[in-house]
Amino acid sequence: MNLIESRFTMVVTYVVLGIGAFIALFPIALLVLNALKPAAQIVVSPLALPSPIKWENFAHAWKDAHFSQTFVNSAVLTGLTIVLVCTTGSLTAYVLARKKIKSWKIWTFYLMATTTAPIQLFLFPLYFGYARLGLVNNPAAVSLIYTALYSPFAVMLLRTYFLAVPRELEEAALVDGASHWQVFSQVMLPIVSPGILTVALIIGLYSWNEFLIAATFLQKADKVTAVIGFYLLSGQYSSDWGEIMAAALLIVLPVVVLFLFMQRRFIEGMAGGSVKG
Amino acid sequence: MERRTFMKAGLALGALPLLGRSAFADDKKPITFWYEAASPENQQHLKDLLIDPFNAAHPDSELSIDFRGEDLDKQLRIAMLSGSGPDIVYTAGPSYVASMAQAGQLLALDDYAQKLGWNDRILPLFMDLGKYNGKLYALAKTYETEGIFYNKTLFEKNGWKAPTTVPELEALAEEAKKMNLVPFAAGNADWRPTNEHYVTWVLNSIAGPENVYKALTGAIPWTDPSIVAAIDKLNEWWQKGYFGPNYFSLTGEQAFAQIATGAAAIAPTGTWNFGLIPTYFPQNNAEPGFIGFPSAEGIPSPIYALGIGSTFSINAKSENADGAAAVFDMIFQPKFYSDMNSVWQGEWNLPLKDLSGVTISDKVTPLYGEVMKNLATAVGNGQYGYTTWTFLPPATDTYLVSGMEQVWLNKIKSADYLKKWDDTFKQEKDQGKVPAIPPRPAGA
Amino acid sequence: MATQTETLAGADAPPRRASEMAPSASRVHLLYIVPTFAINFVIILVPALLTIALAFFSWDGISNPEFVGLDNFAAIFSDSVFWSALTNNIIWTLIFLIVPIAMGLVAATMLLIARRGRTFFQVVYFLPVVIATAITARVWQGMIYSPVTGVFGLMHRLGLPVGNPLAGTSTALYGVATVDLWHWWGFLCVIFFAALRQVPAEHIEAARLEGASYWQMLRYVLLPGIRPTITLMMILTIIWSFLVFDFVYILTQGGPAFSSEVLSTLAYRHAFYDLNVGQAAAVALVISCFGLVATFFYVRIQTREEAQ
Repeated sequence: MNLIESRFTMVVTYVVLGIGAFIALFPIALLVLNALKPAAQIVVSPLALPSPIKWENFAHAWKDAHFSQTFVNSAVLTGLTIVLVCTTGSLTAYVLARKKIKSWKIWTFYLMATTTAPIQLFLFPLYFGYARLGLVNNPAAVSLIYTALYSPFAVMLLRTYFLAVPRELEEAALVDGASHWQVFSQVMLPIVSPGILTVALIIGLYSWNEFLIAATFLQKADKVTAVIGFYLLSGQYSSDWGEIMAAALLIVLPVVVLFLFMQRRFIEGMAGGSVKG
Repeated sequence: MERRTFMKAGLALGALPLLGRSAFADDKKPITFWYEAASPENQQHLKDLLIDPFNAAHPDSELSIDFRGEDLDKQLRIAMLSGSGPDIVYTAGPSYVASMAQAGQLLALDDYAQKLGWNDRILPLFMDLGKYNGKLYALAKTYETEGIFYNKTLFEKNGWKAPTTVPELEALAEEAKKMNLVPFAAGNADWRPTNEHYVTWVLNSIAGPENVYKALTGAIPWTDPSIVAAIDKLNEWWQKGYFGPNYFSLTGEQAFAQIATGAAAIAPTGTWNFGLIPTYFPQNNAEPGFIGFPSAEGIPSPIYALGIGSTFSINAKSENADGAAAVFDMIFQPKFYSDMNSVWQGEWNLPLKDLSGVTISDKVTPLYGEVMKNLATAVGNGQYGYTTWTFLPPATDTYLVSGMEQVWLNKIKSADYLKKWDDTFKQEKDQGKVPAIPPRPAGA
Repeated sequence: MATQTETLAGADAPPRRASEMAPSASRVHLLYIVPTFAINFVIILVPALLTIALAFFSWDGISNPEFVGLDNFAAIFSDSVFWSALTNNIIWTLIFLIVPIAMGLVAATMLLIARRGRTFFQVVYFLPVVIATAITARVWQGMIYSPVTGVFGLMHRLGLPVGNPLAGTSTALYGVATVDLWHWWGFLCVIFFAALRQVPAEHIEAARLEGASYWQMLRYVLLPGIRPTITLMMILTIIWSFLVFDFVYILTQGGPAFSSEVLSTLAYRHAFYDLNVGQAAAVALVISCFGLVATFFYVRIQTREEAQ
């Protein structure tokens, strides 16, 4: 689509886009740059290039933020949440998309409303309930909270994928004598698998980055997530920002790499579900 | 997604509790201990002097320390609510202990004190300050006072003299301002309650410890003119810019470093900062100095305000209370006092009765021993002042921290501030939350 | 957004096959939605109902709750911090209704004009969205705002009159909002761009033939073309503006002197530091009330959009 092609317009366009890119990249560049510097150099100037590069920042950050433990915790929590959301979410999305039950409309409205429920509305009783049941510091129990939080989004997004599947496929399978479960698991699921992958990526991103729930429900040193490990570390050495930025880079890197490879899915999925992180 | 995946998910969920259990497969009973922020060197000192020797001496227990940084207080409160806090509960002062003790989150330590002989080893004043409703809930880990840290080298260069009266102090601040130096190095970015360090300062050195004692015991209200004058003085200093432009952006450590580099004139702060002297003074070729706060006219000078900087308690839900008590028992010994204070000053000034067996490394600045001796003398003859985090009940203490900020930033007037302070205090006094204040010798 | 072939509004049409709605099949399929809703009820619905109840009780989280009627509301309404927090939420909402939406729209229309590098710019703009809030907050705090280690400190040393916005009562809220803006506007840009590409090419072509300028094009063709998307994003902005927590909690903890306190951090403080769960619940209800109005419009628009 070409709007206006004058040379001047093009120059203005790219200048504006360039400014936008600068705004987006500047803090990220600071993160990367200072992760490679000793603290004393950062105090002189956060903008200067590192000389020499202090690679030890990464080793120190890895050790001091207990990443060998906290990365595993984050991975377990994220993985568990993805599995829970995708399994329960795809079942619900299928039923609601295909109006398999009479009351499907009410359930859909309810889910839509809960996508926008404030966490504070249920956080406090939930915390004290969890505390009483001894579920604080239990990653599986925390992944249940994430599942409840992210499911409405996942269901709404998956629903659109199920809606796009031609009805005839399903009917043909039923005529062939397939059970309802077989129709769902062997006909429908393979077709919507790209949608499930998208949901898995986005849920994974949210679980990996989540702060409020993780900070509140996971407190034991051997249970905290990588993000909370980073948060605790950065509250500790106010003097060594090189190490803090190195720790930040270690957490951000896997996310950004995955995002760059799968950017289309990320963007489409998040736009489709309209969820703010 | 196919059925296999569902089964895998089921297996993974089922396996989780097993994972948890296998982690504790060995018979050692864990003792968890959350500490606040500590530099990597100090973390190493704790490992060498406490964790390793303790675990070697107690093969059945496994002590581990987890460094929580500036978030310790918040995390601890949330964790204690769910009964999942650490075995050893470490707080920033008796005011913080009170609410936990009241909520039944802490174990009474009286039996351990008797059995392990703590009553004979620890100064009785400090045992009293750890009591709520007659029961012992906390041991004072370190006692401390406040005063003025300064840079002798910088003072010599500028021909300055350490101030011994309030007008001298103010003249010094004005001169520093003219030279574009920050008069008072201070910052609360990492610890909001830093505000109360300065409130404590003026309460004792401007209003005077006698008046504070009267207010604490309810003889006068906190709205008394003497207290108003103190808060107004502190506000005047703030409005004149003595606390510098970056109070809310600097951490305590960043602020303290300013006197070593010559960017600030003095650091009016607590003795816990002695631990930072080796980090910042030698590298700037500066010699540290310390004196007590000069007092206003009519008040003995200097007043050493007594503070308990941090406390030890045992979690009521602890499964290894005996182990935690054994850790305390190892800490409250002359040997640990000597070893720890030789490498890390200001945070481990344990209130031991008998310091005759203590020897501190001669590498430590003699200034430290001198200050601690002065404080001990003041405590010995009852002439000490009162720090807010040790003698005020919890809600009053919380309010005075945020309220002072509102006064400084012109959100409320000092009279309104002290009115609400007084209301909160009275309410807590009625609820029996004010700690027992040791009687003050007459004529002091 | 993914295309939709079936609609909620089509509900009134009879099912194509009687067997699909047969009681037995319906019962089987009811089982399919049990996991999602069981988890949802346990984690969200039941605690949410408890929060509503708790707002009328005095409770410290440990002992037995005590019914106090409207005392909690009376207490929070007479607290000046509550009102400044509410004001801050409203200021926050206004900022986010204007600034990121404007930035997103400008950038999105520019992407429409640009023929090369669209994907590159989209990915770059979206990058801040995928970085954890805790990390974004610390980068801005330490590397940009700090007077010691940040770019602001460097500029100050070079003689420019800049101070840490987080340290001033009049600037703290805006300092925090800037961080969230940075984190957020790229998302809007990408959404708007996706919507702009759906605007029929004929409309744009027709406007061009009439010699429309950029602003005329924007005003008469592009903006009306994506109005539903803009409205939806505005409603979501209102909802999210009352939920803002992470950045305030990490960057200023509501300070200095409560100048950047918002309702969600206030509720959190009441519950976990002051052990006043009743008042926390009351504040949570206020947050939810604002959210509820916006949620109503959100659900309505979502269903209407699907109907079209």
